Amino acid sequence: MKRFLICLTLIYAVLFNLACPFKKADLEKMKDYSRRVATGAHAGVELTRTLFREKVISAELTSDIADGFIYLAQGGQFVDAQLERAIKNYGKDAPPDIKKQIVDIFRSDILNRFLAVIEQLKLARVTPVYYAVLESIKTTVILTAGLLGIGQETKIQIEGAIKQ
Amino acid sequence: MNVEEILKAVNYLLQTFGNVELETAKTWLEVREYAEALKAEAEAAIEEQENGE
Repeated sequence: MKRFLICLTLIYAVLFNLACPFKKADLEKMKDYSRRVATGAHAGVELTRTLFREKVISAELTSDIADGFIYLAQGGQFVDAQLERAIKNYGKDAPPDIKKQIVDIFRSDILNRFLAVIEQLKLARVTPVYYAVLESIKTTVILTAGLLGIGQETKIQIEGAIKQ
Repeated sequence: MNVEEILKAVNYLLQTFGNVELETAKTWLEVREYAEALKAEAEAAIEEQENGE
């Protein structure tokens, strides 16, 4: 019964969150967070370049890691464009369906691509070296997810991916 | 990677990562271009290795 009530509360919270308009201030905050994630990703590419030039990692691995960051950057560019459009189109608050669209593109174009980068680093067994970069990106991605009402599930997903 | 290599990388990170906050924030376009340039560098190294063999 207790579990049922918790589930019901969670479902209600998600539905309530998605039914609310998306505040313009939150859209602008998301743009700022996106920039911070980009800065963290840039540091990740810089670290990869140094590791490659110092011959710590192979050219093949460097190419694969670069692919992951290129894919993430393409996703970030797409999310930024959608945020810009929503800010421009809605003078005040964006309607709830726009929020749902942004949740969907955040999941597919930022979160999943970041998880793919983590997976790539894990396969190459170099995750500890990237710890600070991953932590920096993780924190801001979770903050962004918090604005979208999916902070907790995002935190669990990322921490699970890093730990595995 | 051995311990020495990891320490070298961590030292680099400690020396440079603090500067990230001080630098101008990066855009996704800059990240993409930087990563594409790195990929091109790595691909050139792979080709060089293959030609050398």
